[in-house]
Amino acid sequence: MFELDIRSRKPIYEQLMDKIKELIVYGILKPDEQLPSVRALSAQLTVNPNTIQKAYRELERDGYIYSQPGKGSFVSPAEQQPQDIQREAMREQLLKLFAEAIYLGFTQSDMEKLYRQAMEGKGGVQDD
Amino acid sequence: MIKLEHTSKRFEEEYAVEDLSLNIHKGSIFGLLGSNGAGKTTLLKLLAGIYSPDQGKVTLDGQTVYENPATKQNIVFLADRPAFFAQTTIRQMANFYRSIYPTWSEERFKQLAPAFQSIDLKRKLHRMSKGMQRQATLWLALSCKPQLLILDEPIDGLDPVMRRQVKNLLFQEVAEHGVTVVISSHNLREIEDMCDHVGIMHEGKLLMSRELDDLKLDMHKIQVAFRDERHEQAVSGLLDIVHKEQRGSVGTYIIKGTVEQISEIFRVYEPYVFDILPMTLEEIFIYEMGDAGYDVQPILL
Repeated sequence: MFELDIRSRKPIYEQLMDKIKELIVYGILKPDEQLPSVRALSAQLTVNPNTIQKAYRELERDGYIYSQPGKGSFVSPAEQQPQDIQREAMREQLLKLFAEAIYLGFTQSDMEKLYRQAMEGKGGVQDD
Repeated sequence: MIKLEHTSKRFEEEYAVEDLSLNIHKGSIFGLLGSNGAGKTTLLKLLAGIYSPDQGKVTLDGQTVYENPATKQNIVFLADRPAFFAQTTIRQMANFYRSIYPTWSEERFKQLAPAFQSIDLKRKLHRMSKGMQRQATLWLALSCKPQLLILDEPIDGLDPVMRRQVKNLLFQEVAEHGVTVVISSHNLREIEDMCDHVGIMHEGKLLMSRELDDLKLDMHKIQVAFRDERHEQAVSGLLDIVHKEQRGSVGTYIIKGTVEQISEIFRVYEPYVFDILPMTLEEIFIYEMGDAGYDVQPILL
């Protein structure tokens, strides 16, 4: 379920956070679904349990997940997901990609075409 | 929690560890880095209660370590060279450890057997290779169920499969029993993958001790091409630049600060190219050591 790139410069806890956010956004992890325990994930990925703990803590602080003492961590209900933060981060990324696309000669209609394509493909299989 | 307060250790006139203070939290994996001869092994031996500090205090949960068997029962130290009694097998060594450590778990020793399957219980340890002896020491150490595991260059000499195995075992100890692990190594990649806290030593002093992720968020590598040369000077004045390199029109900077701070300053000038990369531990190590006056000398032979 989780693939980490240990060669990446990005800290592992950030990679984990991004991965889990992605799984939540795409609905692979459903609201109120339980996340793997820190112990299980640590053993599965060979990652320091404190790092996983940290990723879970940050995700909880941002409102993506909630924890129940003694039970574990769960995905927050959809209405409680922090859309503002996601939107802001997405806006930045899009802006950067748009700038590159414009440089490569994409026109406004090309972009619109892509937008429509994304709308139609929504919920389907994603490819990069 | 492990605490060193203004600890010094001197060998004749030479300070191996000088006025060093350090806290290591329970349940963390602490990586100790440093130049050769920085005093890492001396520090580990102070933690393990092998050396008595000349000045200052070394405590585990508030109890002195040196010559205090009640505290030392909870500590296992693996030296950089495996040491066994002459002509012994792992079974005989296990019996010895069992007689020393009250927390020794025979059950754990048996549980771990499949992980160290290449070690024959009846074979003499001194006839085994360095890597297998390493494995044997780790097997014995984990069977003692200590609260504090001190490992001096533990991964060296292990093959990749065993490395992963050992890491997994250590992580389980940390996750399930809150064991504290202190590791020294020169293999920065390994430390980066394993540890959550790191300390960097140089000439008996601790240059820094931080959470690894904080350390990485605190220093960045930036590649930038300005629209105008004058912009560079304007930017330089506002930033804490550790290192700078210019190749053609693209400059590479190592800058202290958060992503937000740094990008805010650069963005004002709308550079042609602007990339901000997190640092690897190796880069951090090299630049921090450079700051302390220890760097690669430009010698050509």
